[in-house]
Parts: sequence; C-alpha cells; structure tokens
Amino acid sequence: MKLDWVDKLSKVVEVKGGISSGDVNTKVEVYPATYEEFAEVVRLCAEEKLKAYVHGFNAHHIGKNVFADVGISTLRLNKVIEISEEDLYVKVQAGASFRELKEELKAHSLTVPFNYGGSVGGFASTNLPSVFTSLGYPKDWLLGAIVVTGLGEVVKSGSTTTKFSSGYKIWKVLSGSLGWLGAYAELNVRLLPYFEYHFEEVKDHERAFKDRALGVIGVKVGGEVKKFAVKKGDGEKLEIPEVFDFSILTIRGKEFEEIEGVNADFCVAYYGLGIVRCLGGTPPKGKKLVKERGCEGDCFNANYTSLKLLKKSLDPEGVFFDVI
Amino acid sequence: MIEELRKIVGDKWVITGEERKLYSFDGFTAVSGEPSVVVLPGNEEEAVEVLRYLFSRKAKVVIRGSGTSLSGATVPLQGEVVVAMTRLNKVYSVEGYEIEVGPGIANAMVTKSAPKDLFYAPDPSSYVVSSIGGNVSHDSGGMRVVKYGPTFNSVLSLKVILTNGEVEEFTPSPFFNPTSIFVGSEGTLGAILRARLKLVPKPKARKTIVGVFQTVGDASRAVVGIFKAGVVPSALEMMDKTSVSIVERSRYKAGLPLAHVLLIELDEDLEESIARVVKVIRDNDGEFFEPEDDAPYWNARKGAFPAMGVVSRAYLTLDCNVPRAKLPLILSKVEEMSRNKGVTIANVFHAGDGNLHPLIPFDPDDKASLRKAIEVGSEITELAISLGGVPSGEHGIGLEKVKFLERYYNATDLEVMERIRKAFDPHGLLNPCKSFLKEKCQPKDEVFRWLWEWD
Repeated sequence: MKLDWVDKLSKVVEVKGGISSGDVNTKVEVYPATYEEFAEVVRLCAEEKLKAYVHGFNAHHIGKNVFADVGISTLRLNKVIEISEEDLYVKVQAGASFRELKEELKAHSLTVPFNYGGSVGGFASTNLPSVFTSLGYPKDWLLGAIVVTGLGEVVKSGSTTTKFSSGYKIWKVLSGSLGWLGAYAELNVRLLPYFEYHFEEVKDHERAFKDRALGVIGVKVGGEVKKFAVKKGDGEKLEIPEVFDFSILTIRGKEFEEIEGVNADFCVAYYGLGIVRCLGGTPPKGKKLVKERGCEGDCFNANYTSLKLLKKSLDPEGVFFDVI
Repeated sequence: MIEELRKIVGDKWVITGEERKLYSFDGFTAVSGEPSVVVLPGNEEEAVEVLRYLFSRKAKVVIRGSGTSLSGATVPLQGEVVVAMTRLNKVYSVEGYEIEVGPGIANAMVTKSAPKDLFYAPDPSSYVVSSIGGNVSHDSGGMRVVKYGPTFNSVLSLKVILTNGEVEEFTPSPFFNPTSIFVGSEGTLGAILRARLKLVPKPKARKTIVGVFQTVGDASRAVVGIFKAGVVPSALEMMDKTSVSIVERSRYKAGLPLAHVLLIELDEDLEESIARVVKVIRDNDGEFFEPEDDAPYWNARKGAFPAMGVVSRAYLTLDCNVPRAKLPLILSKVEEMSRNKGVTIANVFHAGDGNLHPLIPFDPDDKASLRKAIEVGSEITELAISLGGVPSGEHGIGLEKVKFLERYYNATDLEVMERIRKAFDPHGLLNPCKSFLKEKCQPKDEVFRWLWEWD
C-alpha cells in the first residue's frame, strides 16, 4: 500500500501540525534531531515533489509569503558543540537560540558582535545588519558550516580558521539567501573578546565612525533623525526592532542622505553598511529597494543568472521554497 | 582566432611569439606551462569582447592578473589562451566608504586612491604588485586578516562575465548576492571585470611590540595567550630563528636578535592592550622591545620570502592553516621533519591566523631536490589537515594542492563543488586541471605526478 508523504515523513522524523503565521504557512512541521534526519526529510521532499521551508523560531521572515508543504524546524538541532577561547570561534547547531548562545559565550568572556532574537541558523541565513556597523554583516563572521543541500546531501564548507582558500564559499553564499539555496545544520562563527557597549547621541556621524566607534546608526521617528554612536563600556542602550517592512540599499557612507528623504513611520540608518530599514510608510521610488514583508513580486532586485546556476547546483529539484 | 583577437585589442596586445612564454609561469616557480596565445585587453569593453569570442569558440582560458599566485593558479597547463587583465586598472569611483576598481589594479593602489583617512584592509605580502582580481580570486589574506578579515570581508560586489557570455553586475546587497561564490573561486566560475571594495577608517595610532623567544614552543604559546588575554592585534606575525637568520643576511635585515620573533601590531585600546601583551610575553619566557620606528621590522617580515634567495635560488611556500591552539604542536613537528630529512625549513608566517608559510628550498636544476621539497611539503600539509586545519589559508588550491582536496573533503563535498563548477562552466573552459576538482587531470610529467599523486 502506498503511504502518503506525511506517513513517510513520520517514519523519519517527528511530525506536527503546520503553522499559519500570515507570512509563513506550512502543512506540517517536522523536527529533525540529527543531520541525517534533516537530510532524509529533504530527500523525501525531493522525491515527493514537496516544497520545504527551513526555519528556527520563525521570527524574521523576509521575502515572499511562504506556502510550503513541509516546515523544517531546526529547533531540535540546538547544541553548542565547541567554544574555542584560543581560536575565537564557536561551533554551534543551527537551531540554537542566538541570545542563549551569547549568554553562554559571555561566561567565557567572548561574544558574537551582533544582536539577533532568533536562531543561529536564522542569524546566518538572514544576514541582517546590526548596530555594530563597523564590524560588517553576519556573513563576514561565518567561518564555515555544515550545509544540507536540496538533494539531501550533508556537506562541509569552510573551516574554523579565519583564513580559508580551499574551496567554493558555499556557506557564505547561503548567508543572505534565506534558505533558498540550502540550509545550515551547523555553523562555525568567529568571536571577539566580550565587551559591554552603550549608545551615545552624536552630532557628527562621520566623525564618530572615523573615530572608530563600534557602530553608528540614525533613528528616524516622526520626521526627526537622531544619530547615535555605539561605544565600548556599559551604559544606556536603545531597543532596535528586528523586523522591518522595507530597506533602501545605498552606498556605504550615504545612509543619512537616504533616511532624511524617506517617508516612513520609523527608520534606522546603519551607517557604514549601506542600508536603511523602515517600518510603515511608503517605499520611495527610484531606489534600490528590498521589500522585506508582504512582498509579492521581485522582492530583492536579484534576478541574476549566477543565482539560477547556484540554485541548479545546490537545489536542482527546487525543494526549498522560492522566497526570492 | 589570433586575427580576430587582434581586431579587438590591436596587434600589439596579442602576444604569439617567444614572448608569450613570459606568461608560462607565476609565483609558484616549481612548474611552468605554455600559453597558445596571450591577450591583454585594454579596457572592460575589450575584455568582454575577447572573452565572449573565446567562449564562443570553446577556447580554454586562464584569466591572469600580475602573476603572483603562489599556488600556480595562473599557469597555462593545456595550451590555454591567457587573458591578462593588467590593463584594466582603472579606479571607476570613490564614494563614501566604497571604491570601485578594475581587476588589474595593484592592491597597493587601492589605498593610494582612497581618501587619506581611509584604507583598504587586505594586505597580502605581494600587495605592491598583486592585482585585485587575483586577490579576490584567491581570497587573499595578509597580515591584517587577524583583525579585519580576509579579502572576502572587503569585497562588496563584483561585475563578472560568465562563460555563456553574459555580463552580470551584482548589487552590493546583504541578500542574494552571488559575489560570495566568486571570491576564492580561482577563476573557475567566470572572469572578474570590476570589484566594489570596502574602505575602512584608519586607526589614530598603531604600536608594534617585538617579542623575542628562545624556543618556538614559547613563541607559539604566546600567540595563543594573546588572544586568551582578550587582545585582538591588528597583525601578529612570527619569524622563526631560521628565517630571522636568513633575513639578517639579506637586504631586508633589521637588526633582529637571532631568536624566534613575534611582531605584534596593536591599533586600538593601546595602553591596556600593550600591558596585556607584555604580560603574555613574560609569562611565556619571552623578552620584548617597543621600537620607536617599527618600519625596518615590518620590512624584514615582508622581505622574508625574497630573502630566501640568500640560501636558495628556489623554494616552495606552503600555506596550510591550523587552529592557533595547534601551533606549538605543528611547529615542533616541522622542526623534527627538518632535522630528520636534512631539509632547511624556514617558518615566517601569519601566526595570529594560524596560517603557516613553511619555506622549503630546492635546487631548480636538481629534480631530486624538488621531489624532496614536495614530499616534505606534502607531509606538513597533511599534518595540518589532520590537526583540524585546511590545505590553503590564502594562496588557493591552484595546481599545487589539488591532491589535498580529497584529504580535506569527502566525496559528497567534492561532488557538490563539481556541480557548481559544471553549472557555471559546462564546457570546462576556465582554468582546467586546477582548483576544485572531483577528478584530477593526468600528470604530464614526473613533477606533476609528485604534486598530484600520493606515493
């Protein structure tokens, strides 16, 4: 007797009812507890022509609304495998809570210099900017990963060393690709010695950045832009939301020119990262835009042949849901 | 074909005679090849036209910059057409913290073209001549990776040409940016036509501390200790006693004591960082000094590779990378190998990254000597991989390290990389026989056999 695909999945992994969170909708949710289970689920999806969407806490969805057959939750893959004080890296599974990881690292006087309220896999996949704008994007801090391809292969990419010139940077191109090209099962993330930080309002954002603050941001509320430098040492902190409606991409160093002109309820300019993220209001015309939520058409301005070739290589059956 | 190429770039820039042999080798001098023809397009439009023409003819191509690859990534092994991008050396724009350049521009010219208070962080030792296209293709490193990251972290976006002739210019977006796959891809996925790079504010001050140790173990334990003490230096280099003795006999001499030396550069929280570094040096039985003028010491470090000319006409430069915590172990093993095999091995390297550069001399007129150097190099690289390291930190796989891929990766990992390569280059036109291969090429002679096959 032919089993239907839910029964087949149940033989491999724990299956629960799907989620319906508006922007993410799945028929069932599965919870692989090993990389092999993760891979087996993906292989089954490929065989059964099912669409899968990989997520952690499902807190930062970006791109098109998802209507997938199978939601693959990484939350059971949540172990911190190794913290290296000598080599300043952490080896951690994708479903671990980023905040809990940072707490654990703090006990070793170490940190990942980003704030993110989801899973480690989400931190890497979304590649979102943080207030430490001098320190780049999450992608720059990923040293390597174990990745699950759309064919259900479990692949090593990168390493734990800061330098790596020994293979295609698959784990890097997955960062910012929102699970569309493949999924992280495990990540090696570069660390820094732990530091406290605080926000200081500044007049001259350029001066603050060139004086090598940890970061410089602009916050626009009700038409007024305030500028803040993020500096070492304990003190007052600003709460910055993590979910926005749209982003404007610009040249690094020109973020304040963009934020001045935009009509939105609330915006943050990440000075030095080339991005302004906004909530509410109207996305401006004639700009390089990323439509982060409620997007139906071309959300990312990324209609590249190179991406199609990567999709063909890493997920030839098209298992991972088209968020792009 | 040659006539068509001449029509595009002009007679002078198509090299077919004996002179083409100047493009037979690069910084990896143990082997050479022979290009069928060398083309030097003069601008981006010509480069696109040349490459579209070559791809349409299914010609095999090696894209080359200044030819400083230390892994032989630009040696034409199968009579390929060498397309040298050195004339594409324009600065297209400098705006904010971004600079857009052609692939042929030398690394050093990027900072020179930037506003005075900004700099381009990646600084491979070859930075005076090595090109940005080559740096991007190898994901080159240098001394400041330890703080500022490798070339990858400074590449915001690329403009590339694919083997189907399509030109793509990526937006420097954090989302869906294919730039990442081209960095470190060693010219196997497409040719880089432009790079948009990140500029960083210069530090207000830098300070160098020179640590002096009597044993290599103490020096390498101090390296680990510096990071455990919560300090991230902007550069942390080691020159072992052998390399110091060689440098001090060369034009790069700086008056370094004959010992194992650490050069530690700090560029923030100076007072606190210096105190911590000094404590670590003392705790590891080292001595130290803080030179007023540190330029001669960094010049000695940068000159350590060419200084090898004092003892040998040729040498292999390895590039394996280990976790820092493994430095004491691997360096003691390398010392042991040097003694047991009667081969001089000088270690001058990026200790802060665990990126080893054992320099193994050989006599270019004596094949047995080259074979021995390759065997010793192979043993060191295998050891590095077995200790949790990687075959190459910054020089790339090129033609030099293809056999180590099967030690580092499993068959599935290689299969996936092969799929990427074939998707971008279905006819195998770009840099054949090199880099990330599932199946190695047939060695054309004994040297390639030593390099590519296991005993």
